[in-house]
Amino acid sequence: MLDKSNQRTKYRKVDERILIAKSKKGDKAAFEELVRQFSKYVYTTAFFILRDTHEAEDVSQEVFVKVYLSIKGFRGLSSFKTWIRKLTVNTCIDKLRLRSKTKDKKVSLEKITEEYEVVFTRFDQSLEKSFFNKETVKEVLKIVVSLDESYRIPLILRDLQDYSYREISELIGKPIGTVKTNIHRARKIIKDKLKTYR
Amino acid sequence: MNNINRYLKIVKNAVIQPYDDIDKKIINRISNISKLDEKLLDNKFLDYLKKNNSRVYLVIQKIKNNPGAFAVLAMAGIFIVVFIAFIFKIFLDEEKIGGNNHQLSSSKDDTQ
Repeated sequence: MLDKSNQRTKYRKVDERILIAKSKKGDKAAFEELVRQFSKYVYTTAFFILRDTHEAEDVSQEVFVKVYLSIKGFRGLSSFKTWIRKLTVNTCIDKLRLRSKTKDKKVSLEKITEEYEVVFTRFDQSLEKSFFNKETVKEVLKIVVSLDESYRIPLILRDLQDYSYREISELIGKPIGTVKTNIHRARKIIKDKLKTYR
Repeated sequence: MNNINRYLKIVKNAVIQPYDDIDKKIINRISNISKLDEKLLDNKFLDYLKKNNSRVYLVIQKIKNNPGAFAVLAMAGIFIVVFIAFIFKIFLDEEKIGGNNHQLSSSKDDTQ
């Protein structure tokens, strides 16, 4: 037990590249540290897209299993975060496609807003001073999560995941024009809803 | 709309706190990998891995994602090459004229 905690501290501040190199050689403790560093990021990405805590958990596990089984083949031409982000988004889009085929897309919004707690990894210091702004950001987040799938997915991919319009269009199988329009509408919905909250 | 973009930039740094210990669950899962899990590495995933390991593919994607920026870069590159060629040509011409003048002056000296 003590050994485990020592190992954890040992790896905490170690560079991501070293962790990847060690994981490639089969060092499980190094891979576990990678899991600790990126699990919440993967979970959050999955939750924003799927709006379901259980499915987000499943996707997180699936993504890390895929990474674990294939890390030897990762050449590191893109950053590990980019690799894992795209893998998460692809897995989520596949789940959404499967969901649309098997069951109703609509998830109870009440359930969504009750089930999660938001924390900020990096928060603008000037904003942190203002409680109102922090609450507004949380409000924006709630509105984003409650958006209809056709608006939510392109907006999340563009504004939160830095995908290009072309990439989004290819991923969700819609023309670039539609993607741009939907993102614009999504931003307008957020703006209008924020006005009504105030 | 500017404010919305600003808020969305902050939302980008938001993390949803899972209720369960997600790290523990993932670590447990990778500790008990079965043959079934290997099926997750399907053709689609292997294709993604292959593409991500190709420098050419990644560069093409970057160009496709930012065609405007690439066009500006290409034009700037062409302009620099043309400019260097122009300067080089002027330099060569001047050297040629200088050489001719030198020849002329030396032939004048010979006749005198």
